[in-house]
Order: sequence, then structure tokens, then C-alpha cells
Amino acid sequence: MKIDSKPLRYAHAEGHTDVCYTEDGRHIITCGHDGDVRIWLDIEDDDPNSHCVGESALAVCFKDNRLYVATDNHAVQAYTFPAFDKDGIISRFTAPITQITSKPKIEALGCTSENMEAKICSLEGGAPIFVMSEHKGPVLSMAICPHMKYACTASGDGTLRVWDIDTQKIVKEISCVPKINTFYSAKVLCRMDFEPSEGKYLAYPSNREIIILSCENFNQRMTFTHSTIKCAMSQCLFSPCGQYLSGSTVAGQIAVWEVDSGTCMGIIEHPTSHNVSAMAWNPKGNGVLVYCDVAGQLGMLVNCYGRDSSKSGETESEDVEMVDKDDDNDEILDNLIEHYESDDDNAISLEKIKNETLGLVEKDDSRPPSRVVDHTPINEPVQAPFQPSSTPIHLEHRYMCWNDVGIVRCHTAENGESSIDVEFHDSNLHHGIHLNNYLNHTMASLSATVLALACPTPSKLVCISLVGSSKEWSVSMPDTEEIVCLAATTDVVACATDARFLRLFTPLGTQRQVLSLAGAPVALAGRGARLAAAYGAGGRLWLDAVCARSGRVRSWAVALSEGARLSWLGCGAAGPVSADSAGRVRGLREATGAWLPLADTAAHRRGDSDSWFIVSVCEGTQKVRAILCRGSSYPVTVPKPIVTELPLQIPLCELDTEKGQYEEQLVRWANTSPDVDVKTARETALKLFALACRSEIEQRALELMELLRDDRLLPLAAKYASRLGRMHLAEKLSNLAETWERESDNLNVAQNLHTQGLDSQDSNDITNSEQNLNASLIIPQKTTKKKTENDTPIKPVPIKSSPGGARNPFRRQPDSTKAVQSPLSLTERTLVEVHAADDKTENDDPLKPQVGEAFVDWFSRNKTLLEEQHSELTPSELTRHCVRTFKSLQTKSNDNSQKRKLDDVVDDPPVTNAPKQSKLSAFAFSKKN
Amino acid sequence: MDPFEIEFIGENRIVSIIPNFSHDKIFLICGEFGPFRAGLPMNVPLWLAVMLKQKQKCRMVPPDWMDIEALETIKEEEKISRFFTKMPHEHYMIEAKLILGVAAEDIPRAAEIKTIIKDIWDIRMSKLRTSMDALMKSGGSYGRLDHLTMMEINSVKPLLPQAMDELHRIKMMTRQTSSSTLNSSTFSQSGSSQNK
Repeated sequence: MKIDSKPLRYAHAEGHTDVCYTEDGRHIITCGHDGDVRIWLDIEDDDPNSHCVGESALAVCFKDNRLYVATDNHAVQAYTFPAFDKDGIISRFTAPITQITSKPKIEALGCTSENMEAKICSLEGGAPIFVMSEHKGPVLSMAICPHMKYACTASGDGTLRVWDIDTQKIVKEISCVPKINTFYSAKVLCRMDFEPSEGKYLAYPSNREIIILSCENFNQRMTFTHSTIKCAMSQCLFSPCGQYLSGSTVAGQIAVWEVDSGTCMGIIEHPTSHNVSAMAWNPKGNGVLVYCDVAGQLGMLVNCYGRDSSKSGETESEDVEMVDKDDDNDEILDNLIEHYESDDDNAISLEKIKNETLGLVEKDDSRPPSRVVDHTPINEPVQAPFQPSSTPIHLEHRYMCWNDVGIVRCHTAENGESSIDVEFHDSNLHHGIHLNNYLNHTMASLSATVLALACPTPSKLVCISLVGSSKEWSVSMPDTEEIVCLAATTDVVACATDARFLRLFTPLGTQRQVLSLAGAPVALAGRGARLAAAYGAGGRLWLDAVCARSGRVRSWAVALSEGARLSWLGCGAAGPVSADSAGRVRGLREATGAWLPLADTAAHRRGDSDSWFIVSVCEGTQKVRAILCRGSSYPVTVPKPIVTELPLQIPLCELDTEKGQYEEQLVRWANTSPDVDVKTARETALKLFALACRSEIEQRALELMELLRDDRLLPLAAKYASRLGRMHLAEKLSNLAETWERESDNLNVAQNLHTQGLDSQDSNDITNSEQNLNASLIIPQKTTKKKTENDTPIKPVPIKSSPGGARNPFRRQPDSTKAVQSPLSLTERTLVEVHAADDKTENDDPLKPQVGEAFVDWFSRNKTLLEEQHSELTPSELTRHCVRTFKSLQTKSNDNSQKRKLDDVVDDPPVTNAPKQSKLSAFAFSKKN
Repeated sequence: MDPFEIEFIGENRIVSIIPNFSHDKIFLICGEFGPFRAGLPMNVPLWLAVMLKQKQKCRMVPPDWMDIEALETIKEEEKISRFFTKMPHEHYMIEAKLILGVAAEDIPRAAEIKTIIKDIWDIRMSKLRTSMDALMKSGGSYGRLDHLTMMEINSVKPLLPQAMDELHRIKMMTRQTSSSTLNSSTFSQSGSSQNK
């Protein structure tokens, strides 16, 4: 027998309306926004008994021949029934009362109020039995278990709390309630219910499901949902026998399930899709359910048990205590309990077989299929899907997306109409866009070429191309597939669906690719042709790095702080970047597969309740762009918040020391792709080298140079070491240079083969392998820089054993390192200045007896010319410079043949084979280890 | 000096803006600014900020001191104190006038801020007038006033020096007449009217 819906009828003015039955099930009592309480004999009663109780009445409850009404003076007023005389005030609150509830077996009333309190009061008034005051938002609803052991409240702070009435403690907290500031704007009322006969179960609505918890350990037992339920469930209510469960959605759908079999008895759509504000089962147990909606209408469903309500009403005597006497129902419920308690799959449930064979549980194939999911912790989703840099959907004004390109905002008016506006940071890129959100898009992603929007039901992807004239295209998801994550980049639009597909489109709407994800999608981000898709599988988070161009996918486990959730996902220049709820920002180095902690935003908080809302991570400038949210988790839309740039910082040890800071810089620059001049990096490296030298740890200084493997840094380091009087170290460094040179010669052939192999591969792979090889180097950008640098490289000449000769290799440096010297402002300049004095004497003394005269001749001959060339130098500096020039000229002419050879070797490779050489050197380095 | 000239001086103050365009560094006489990165805050001189705002090329970031709570405290202190209190900076009035004039929509609670700054200005001006009055009445020839901003000093300029000149002239005349009548001249004026 199908559920039948009686036509709706007007009961009260528009607004929250409550309904209940008298205990004998003969009268329906409603109260509403107009402040009237009406007593109906039946839904077809044309002349209900009306009583005015005030300006408005939010809640009504019938108990022991008395009526309890929540009046506009924030009190629970008792009335006698049927006389309707005032019979005292049960309790008072300081804000409107949102629900009054009770159960047939208990002698108390549960009242909830907007003032963040819920009370359990005795029926005679007086001091409340239990005041629950730990809520942080308006209390929306309450349920008390039939044994008065537990109470459950749902509050607008987002939490559902289960209280132990005896100990007055919270025993369980679940966040399932949409956050809301006031009861009046709440769509989801989150009305829970305890199973009425034994109180062994608690049912509560959570998103699109009704979840049943066991009251023994408050673990999830079952969930009820249905494929046609497309929006959030608002209420659930057990039938008086506990055998059936009704639930309503915010769109006015009412569904009835049979609890033990999980069969959906039917789903009734509200004719005008108004939110159902209250439901009540007829205590007669005849399958009659009355409900009220926010438009003030009263409706009735009959035959909800799959049997004829009128017949059952006739056959079953009008027994008030029917619930207790219905042995059949109790038995079934017991069976049901046993069935679900035996989690062991191998356990054979006799009752179940009995039920099936004896046909105790009727199954009607004509009913739409529904899902009953047995929950075990592993199957629970690791994390709900989210859009990076967006604020929660329930907010009236929310950010759908805030990234480097622009801001997408969504404004929802009170009448439910919403609009989307898009603002571009760079107004030259595109003018702002304003559109009406007819489809109720909840997700948005923005790139320089395309704006992508997506709505969940019926799921559709709408994209507006920003290139050229704005062209809009849209694509619908097949069947019931729903988009849960969305990302748009300049090259690709990607969406992840609940069918665990990752669908790729071009920015102009060509379908490119469908991939299957190995788990439920959590977040999606992209940059260029590369995408990062986070999904939960096996109780943890994974990340797929997808290259849209080559279709190559690599999976990585996501690193998170303990107990933290993924809160942001992005794609930096060097790979995917994640942030967790503990404030840690991490970057994935795809080449090595390592997660590198890049920053800790929590360290920049000004107060404990502050948080950073991450907008983007820019590795070029080494900054995290984020918005400081004072005392909240999400930024407000008005006034428009200001993006702050937080520095990236690798959490090395002892960052307050100079050494730690330099080390941090080098590690950071090596592992990210910063816009840092290679010279700056060399400068830092040299400073670190100097620190090691000065603190008398020569081995560390040498090790550092070996590690860095930079053939330009080496001469500078050797020079510094020799000036510091550490000849031993300088010698070792020169030897190192020789070794490198030899290695590069030996491996010339191997290197050629290597590059040939690489060339045949995808271009993306090449960059990756390049990164891969560079990873062992401290200054990775050396490769790219070298290509552009055309100045002659510095090469140390083999060192001689005499102390004077130790500096010989660098004699030519003043000429060739001119360009290199300037950025090394700190070290080099001071070096030159500090050692200028003894430089001169040392250089002049040994040379004078041999070539003194020749120099003087040469100098006087060329003096005017030299002065013109170096007009910026003082006379003494000029002389020094000329001495050097002269000497270099001399040596050049002396061993010209040998020099030429060296220069040939040096000149060619850096220009043509620069990246190969670095690859090679890295290779050599790793081989060495 | 004209108020406009003081405004010109004050326009050199550095303020924060969020540009809606991207551009390389620019090199100005007063220094180099930039690079301009769309959507990210940066510092520029006030005059440039005003110019960009007028061209709708940027959004102003409210200066730290342009905050209701901070200004309330300043106002209260100013009210309680007999002396002038320290202002957020030398050109607060100019900065407030220019920013609130051109970019009121970028400043939260702009109208309230406007009122409160005007209140502070009024309190200070009345204080300044009282001080001047006291100075005149006590017949002192100098006084000390701390924490006066350039604009405030300028506001008394048309009146005070001229009045002092007149006073001086009168004094000289009385001295001449008295010295002609009395042989023993009495210099009773200490000239130490402390107004601070």
C-alpha cells in the first residue's frame, strides 16, 4: 500500500509552525507564527479550536493532559486540555524557545532556546532538573531517551552533543549541524530522535543521510538515505513503535524507512517544496504522520507503514499504551538489535533468515531502491570534499574561490536567490563578471583563461572562457554523478565526481580525459597542465599528481600533522602544495617524492583564535599569500580583507643563529624554485663557508664545497681560505676542482648517451629528470642560469706547492670575476678591502726584483690609456690594477700553449652543454656517495 | 606657508595600496616603488596612491591608525590631557582628508572615522586657542607647545605672529613713554608663560 498524501491546508501564518498529537491520537495540535494554538479533530476539521497565546508561538508539546506552549515572552506556558486554561509557567528563558519535547514514558520536558541553553524541566515547574549550557550557538533541537539516561541537543555552533543526564556530562560530540547564528534562519533544524521503546538507538540527520547511533557506545550503526534525496535532511522521527523512521529534507521531501530492513516505504515530495518545520506520528500507531511546513500549512501522510492506516486504526483498538503492548514490534526490534550487534560477517542470523523466509519483512520491489550502509571506520570518508580557498556554503556571503587571478564571491539573499560576482586582481585581464546563480553553483575555480562553476544537483559544469569574447559552455554529468571538486587552470578544467572520476576538459569545452581516482575525492588544484587531486582511501589521504598533457599520473600519500585535516591544496611552480588545519604548509617534490615543510602559518598568528586563510603559495617570491582571520577561520566579505605575504621557512634547527639562517636559505632555495639570483645563492654559500672556516672546522668547509659542487664558487672559497691563511684547505679545494674536471672529461660520452635518451621522452619528463638530477645540488637554478651567462667561466689552474703560488690560480680573477664580484657585496668586497694592504705588498715584493723595471716601463708607456680606461679608480688602486693586468699578460705570453688548451675546454661546454654538465656532475656526485 | 604647501609635504607619506594592475618598479625622485603586483598590497607615496585611486587603478589599505578604537583612545587622551598628545603622525589630518575624500569606500566605517578625526581636530584647535589666549593674557612673550602638527601650527599663523607684533609695538611704545616719565624702569615681565 503506497503512502498517500492528504492535500495541504492552511493552519497558520507563514513562519515556523509546530505540530503534535494528543496522547490518545485524536487531536492534532498546531501552533504558529500568528501566535495561535489550534486544536484539530482531524486534518479535515474545518473549524479547529483556536486559542491565542501571544504574538507568536514557536513550539508546542502535549503531555499528561496538559499543553506546553513556547510563547513570545520566552516562557514555557502550560495549559490544561481540553479546557485550555493557563496552568503555570514551567520554565523561562532569555531568548525564544525553539523546541519543547518529551516522550510518553518520561516525566519531564526538554526545552531548548536561542540563548544557547537547553533545559530538562519537571512537569510541575520549579528548578530545572538539568541545564545544558555549554552550547556555543542557539540550540535548535533536543531529544531525551525514554529511560531519561541520555539527552541529545543540536546547536547552531555546528555540534550535536549527547549528554548523560545522571552525570551531567557530555558523552559524545558530533559535528553534523550546519552552522547558523539564529534559529530563525536555520533551514536544517537537526531534529534527532531516540528509539522510543528501549532507547537503544539515536537517529540524527547528517547532510543527506539519517545516521543511527547505538546508545551503548555511540558508534555509527546504520545510515539511511535515498537516491532521490538531493538536499540536506532536516529532521528524523521514529514512529511510536520504533519500527519506522521518517525523515524530512529542507526541500520538503518526507521519506519513511522500515528500520530493520532498511526498505524505503516511500518518499513524498512536498507540492510547493517548502521546508518541513515539524512532524508528528499518530500515537495510535496507524501509520499516520502529520507535518507542518514553514509556509504554515498542515499536511498528513497516511499508510506510512505500508498498511492501510484507516483499517489498522479500526482493527487495533484505540489503545493509548499500544506501544508497550505491541509485542510483535518489540520482537522485531530485538531481532534487529541482535542482527546489528553481530558485526561478524560469518555469524548467521537466525532471525534474519526467519524474517526472510516467514516474510515478516515485506519487500516491495516497486519501491525505489535505497541504500543501507553498515559503517565501519575504514569505510568512513577520510575527509569531506572541499574547494581550496573557499568559505563554507552556508554563509550568506561567501568566497567561492580566492586565488592569484581573482576572487569569486557568492551572495545569497534571504529569499534564496543568489548571485555570483567575479573580481579580477588585474583589471587588465578581464572586467568583473556578475551573474545570477540560477543553478545554485556551490563550487568555483578561476584561472587566467577560464572561470569554472559547478553545482551539485543536478550536477552541471558551467565554464566561461575569459579569452576573447566571453563564451560560455556547460556540460551535464551523466545520471546521478555529482561534481564534488573543481579546478580550472590556464590549460585545463578538471572536476572530480562522486563516482570517483577525474574528468578533464579543455578551457573551451572539449572533453579530454577521464581518469578513475582510487578513493573519494577531497580536493583538486592545478597549474598549467598539471593537476593535483587529493582523495581519501584506506583511512588516509592520497594525492595524484596528473599531467594533463601526457596523462601521466603518480600517486603519493599526503603528509599531514597529527590529527590535522587537509585544509588547502594548491599547485606551486615546483609541484603540489598542501596546507593542513594545524597551519603547516608543505610542498611535494615530485622528483624525489618527498613532502617538504615550507612554512608554518600558525607561527604568524597574533592570537590563539586567529587563523590564516591561505590564498596561494608563490615559490618565486618565496611567500605564502594568506589572509589573517581574527578570531575566526574564514575571512569576511565586508570589509574586503587584505592579503598578507608570509615568508616560506624550512623548519631547520637553530634558526636564530647565523649558520642556521644560511643553511635554511640554501635548503629552501635548492628545494623550491625561487626568483633568486644564482649569485645571491653563491654569496650565502660563501658566507656559510666563511662561518665554517672561522669556527675552525675546515672539514665542514670542505664538505660544504663538495656538497654544493659549484665550479664558480670553488675559486672564491679557495681564495677566501688562502687569505685566511688556511693553505691546507685552499689546496684541498683546488684538488677538488681538478677532480671534478677529470670526472667531467671521463663521463663526456656517457653524458651524451644520457641526453639522447632524455630527448626522446616527453618534455615534461625532461624537466622532471632535470629536477631529479639537480635535487642533490644545493643551487638548482644553476642549470638554467648558466645557459644565459656568457661571460667566461673561472677555472682554477692546478695549484703549486709553494705558498706564494697558492694564490696563482686566481691571479686572473680580478678581470674575469668583475661581474661575479659585485653581487657578492658583503663577503667579496670586505675581503678585497681587508686584504688590500697586504695584497699589494705581497704582490709587489716578490715580483720587483724580477720584472720591476719592465713593469715601470710598461706602466709609464700606457699610463694615460690606463687612466682613461679606469677613471673611477684612485691612483693607488690604479697601480694595483695595472700590476695585476701586467702580470696576467706576462703569464699568458709565457705559457700560452697550455693556457689555450684549458680555455678551450672551459669555453665550450658551459655554453652548449651547460645543463648536461650539471646533470653529469650531479651524477658523479651521487656515484661518489 | 599655505595649507596647500603643507598638504604637498604631507603627500610624501608612504601609504599602502592594493593595485589592480601589474607593472615593474617605477623610479621616482623620492625613491623607487614597486613592483606593482595586482591584488597584493604595496607601499607608495600618498600622492601616487590618490592619483591611482582617482584613476580606479587601486584600492587603499586603511592606515593602521585609521581605526575606530585607536582613534577613540586618542580622542579620550586628548580630552583628558591638559597638554597636546602625540598624534599618529605629523600629517594625520592631510592623510585622513585625502584618503577619506578619495577612497571612503575602502575604509570601513569611514563616516565615523571622519567624525572622530574632526572631533580630535576641534579639541586640539580649541586647546590651541585657549593656550594662545592664556599666553596673550599673561603677557608672556613665548610659550612651549609639544606635539603640534605642521597643519595646526600653520592654522594659527595668520593671527598669532601679527598679534605678537602688535603687542610688542604697544609694549615698546609704553616703555618709551614710561621711560620718559619714570627714571627707574621696572621689568616685571618674566616672559615665562608656560603653556606647554
